[in-house]
Amino acid sequence: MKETLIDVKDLCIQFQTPGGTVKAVDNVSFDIKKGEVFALVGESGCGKSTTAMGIMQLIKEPGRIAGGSINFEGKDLLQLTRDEMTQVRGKEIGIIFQNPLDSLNPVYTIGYQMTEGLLVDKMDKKEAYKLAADMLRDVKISDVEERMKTFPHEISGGMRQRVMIGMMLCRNPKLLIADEPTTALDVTIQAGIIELMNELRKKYDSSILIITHDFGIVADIADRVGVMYAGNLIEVGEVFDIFDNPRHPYTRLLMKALPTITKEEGRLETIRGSVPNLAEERPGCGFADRCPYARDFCHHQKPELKQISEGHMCACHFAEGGLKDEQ
Amino acid sequence: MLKNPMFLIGSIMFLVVILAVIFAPLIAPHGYTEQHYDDALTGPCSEYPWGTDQYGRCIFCRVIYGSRIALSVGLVAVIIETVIGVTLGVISGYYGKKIDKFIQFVTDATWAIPPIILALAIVLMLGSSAMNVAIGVAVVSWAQFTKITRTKVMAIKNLPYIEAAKIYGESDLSIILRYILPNLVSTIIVLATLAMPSAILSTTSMGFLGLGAQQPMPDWGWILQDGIQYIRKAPWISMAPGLAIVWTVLGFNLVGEGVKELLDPRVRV
Amino acid sequence: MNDIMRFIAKRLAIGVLVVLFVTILVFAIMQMMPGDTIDLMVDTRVSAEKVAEIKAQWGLDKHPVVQYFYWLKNILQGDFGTSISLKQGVKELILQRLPYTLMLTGASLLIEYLIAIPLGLWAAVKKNKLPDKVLTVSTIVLWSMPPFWLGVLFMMVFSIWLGILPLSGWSGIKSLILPAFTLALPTLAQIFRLTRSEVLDVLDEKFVTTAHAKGLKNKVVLVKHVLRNAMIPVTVMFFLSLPWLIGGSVVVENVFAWPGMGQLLFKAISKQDFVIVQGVVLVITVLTVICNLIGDIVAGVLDPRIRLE
Repeated sequence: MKETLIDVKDLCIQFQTPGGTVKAVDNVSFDIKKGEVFALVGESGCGKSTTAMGIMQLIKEPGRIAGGSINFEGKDLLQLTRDEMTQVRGKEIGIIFQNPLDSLNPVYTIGYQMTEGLLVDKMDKKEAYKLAADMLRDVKISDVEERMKTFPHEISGGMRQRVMIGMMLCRNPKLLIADEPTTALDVTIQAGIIELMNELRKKYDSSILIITHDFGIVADIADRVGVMYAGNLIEVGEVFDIFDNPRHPYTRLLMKALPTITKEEGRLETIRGSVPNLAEERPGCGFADRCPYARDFCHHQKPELKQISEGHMCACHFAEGGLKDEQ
Repeated sequence: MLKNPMFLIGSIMFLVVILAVIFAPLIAPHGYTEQHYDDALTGPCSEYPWGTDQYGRCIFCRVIYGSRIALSVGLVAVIIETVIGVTLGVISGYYGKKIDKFIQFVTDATWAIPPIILALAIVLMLGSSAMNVAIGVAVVSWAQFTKITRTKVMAIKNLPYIEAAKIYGESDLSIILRYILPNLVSTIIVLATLAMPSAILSTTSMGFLGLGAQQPMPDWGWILQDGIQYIRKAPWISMAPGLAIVWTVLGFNLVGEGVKELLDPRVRV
Repeated sequence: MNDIMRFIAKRLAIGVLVVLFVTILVFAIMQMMPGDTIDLMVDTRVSAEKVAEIKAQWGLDKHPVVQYFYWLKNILQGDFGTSISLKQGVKELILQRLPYTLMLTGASLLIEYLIAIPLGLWAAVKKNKLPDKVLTVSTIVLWSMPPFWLGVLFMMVFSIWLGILPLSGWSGIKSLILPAFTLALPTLAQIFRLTRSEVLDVLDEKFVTTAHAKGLKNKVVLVKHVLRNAMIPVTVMFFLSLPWLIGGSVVVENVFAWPGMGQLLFKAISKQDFVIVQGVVLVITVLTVICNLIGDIVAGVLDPRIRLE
C-alpha cells in the first residue's frame, strides 16, 4: 500500500451571493496516494474545479473555504499562513488550468514565465534557463532556444498548454493538479497531452489530480475516480470498479450516457431534470429529484459516503442493497 | 441603482439645484441686479447670506439666479452635442467604409485641438453670449457620443431583423429611425447624463474667461472671475459661485455613477 | 524594424493631414469672426483709406485662401510671421512662452500619475472595502471642481492666509506648485479611475491566478503581472492627455497670470490676431500628433500582442 500524499477531509467551500450562500463544495473528502492519478469527474458546476482551487487556496471573492482540512505531507494546508502557502504553491503543488490561451501572461516571453517560478528558489539564472529549456524539450517542444524568446500569442494553443505543463512541472511538484487540461484543445492534441502527462508522471513520479468531465481521459490515465454531483462527492473507487460496477444511480446514468461503439443507435442518453440550486438548503440527497430510483425518504435524509467494498465508497441509500434496473 | 447611496445623494443635490432654478425669485431676498452701494463688499450676514460684491449686489441672490443660466446653458450644450454626436455615430456605424473612415478622421483630428481652445474660437466667432457658449462647447464635445453610438450601431445593424428589413426594401432612413434609434435610446440617455457635468464645467469656464452671459446677468463663471480682484477683502465673492458649481457638478456626477450601471458594460467608459 | 519605420512613416503622413485640417479649420473660424485685428485696434476716427492701407501692409486685403497659403508657405520656410497686435515675431513669442507651458503641463502630469497610479492600484486591490470607497468618492469630488475655483481657493489658502507660496506670475520654481496642482487634481480622478478599472480587469485574468499558482509572492504578482499589464492603457493615456492639459492650462494660466502659451493664445483669440493663433495652434497640434505617435509606439513596446501597422 502506497503512502498517502494528500488527504482532503470535509472540505467546504461557500460563495456568498445575493441569492444566498452557495455550497459549491460540501463536505468533500478524498485522498491521493504517492504516484497515483486521481480523477474528479462530474458535470460543469458540480464543484470539481472549485475543489482544486480550494486545495491551492486560490478561491476568489466572494468565495471562501468554510471548513475542513487538507493534510499534505503531515501539515494542514488550511492552517498555513499566507506566506507559508505561497511556499507550497508551485513548489509542492502545481496546477494547470483549462484554458491555455489566458493562462500565460501575454506581455512576457515563454522563457521569462518558465524561469520565473524557478527563480523563486534563489536558483542561478543560467541554471534556471537550462532547466526550463530541458523541461520544454520534455514536453515535446521543438526549437526550444527560439521558443524561449517568443510570446504566448505567437504559438498554438496546444503548444501553450505544453508550456503550461512544463512550467508547472519544472519545479518538480509532488502533486500536479490538472483542471480540464485538454478541453480547449482539439482531439489529436488532447491525446498528445494525455500521453505526455502519463510519461511525465512515470518520469517524475508525481501524483496527479485530474479534473475532467471526459470519461475517455479517465480511462486513459486515472487509477482512481471520484464522482461529484452538486457539490458532493457521491462515489469514489478504483477506475475499473467505477466503469464496470458503478453503484450510485448518477454514476450509472453517466456511464449509460457514454457513447460506445456497441450501442446500436447513435443517440446519447441524457439525464432528465437539472442540477439543483446550490443556494437552497437541501435536507435530502442532492440527486433525488432526478433519480429514477428515488423514494420519499431520499428527499429528507442525506446519504453518507459509505464503504461498500474494498476501496469503493458510495453515497446512496441503496448502494449496499443494489439497485434494481427499473425506470 | 436606487440602492446606490451615491445615486441617492446625487439626486438630492440635483433636486436642490432644480428647486433653486424654479423658485429663484422666492428664495432670493433681493433681485440679482439690485445694487446697494452703502453695503458694497459686506461679508456674509443675515441681510446678505453670502455677502455682497463691489456694487453691493447680493451674492447669494446672484448665485441662486445664476443656476438658471448655468443649467440651461449646460442642457442646451448637451442637447446639441447629443444631436451632432449621435447623427455622426449612426451614419458612421451604419454606412461604414469610406464615410466611416472620413468621420473617424474628423473625430480624431478634432481631438488633436485642445477642446477649450476650439470652443473659445467658436464663441468669439459667433459672439459672446450664453447660447453661443453652449454651441461652442457642444461643437468640441460630441466625440464621445459618436464613438459609442458607432460601436452600438455596428453591432445592431447585423441583427437578423434589420437584415430582413433591408431585403424587404426598407429605406436606410426608415431602418435607422424605426429600428436603430429605438435601440440606442437608453445608451443616449446615459451618455447625456454623463455629459452634463463636464458641459457645466466647460460652459462656466467660458463664463470665467468672460465669454458667457453678459453683464449684469449672473454668470457663475464671471462672478468668480470678477471676485478675484477682491480676493483679499471679500473672498466670498469668488467662493460662493465656485461652491455652487461644485455642488451642481458633483450632484450630476454622483447621479451619473448610478446611471452608468445601466450602460452596456461593453461600451462602458 | 522595417515594419516600425513604415508604421511611423504612415502615422506621420496622417499627422501632417491632421495638422493641415486643424490649421485650415482654425483659420476658417478666425476668418468668420466679425471684423479683424485691425478693426479692433484702430480708432474709429482713422479714415477708411488709412485702415485699408494698414490692412494691405499686413496682407489682410487678400482673399482668405491666398492668406492661408501665404501663411503656409512661410511656415514651411520656418517663418511664423509677425503678430499684428503685439508687433513681435510669433516664433519668438512662442519660444518665450512654450517652456512655461511645458513646465506647467509636465509638472501636473507628473503629479497626476505619481498620485493616481498607486492609489488606483490600492483601490482595486481593496475593491468595495473602505479605502476603495473613500478614494472613489473623493476623486469624484475632485473631478467636480472647476479648476479656476480650485486655483482661487489655493491662492486664498496658501498665498493669502498662510503666505507660504507666491500668489501668481512666475518668480521661481515655488510659483509652479499652485498652478501645477490646480491643473493636476481634477484630471487626477480620471487617471485614478482608469488605473483602478484596468487593474480590476487584469486581476480577473487567468494568468494572474497562474502567477499565484507558481508560488510568486503577492507583491511580486501585483507589480510584475497585474500592474505591468494594467499600465499599458494608462501609459498610452499619459501621452494622449497632453492636448487636454494644454487646454486646461488656458484657464489655469489665466487664474495665476502664468506666462505660458495658454495666456498668449487666449489674448490672441480675443484680439483676433490670427498669426499668433495659427502659430500656437500649429505648435500644439504638432505636439499632439507626436505624443499620439509616441503613445502608439510605447503601446507596441509594452504589449507584444499589438502589431504596429
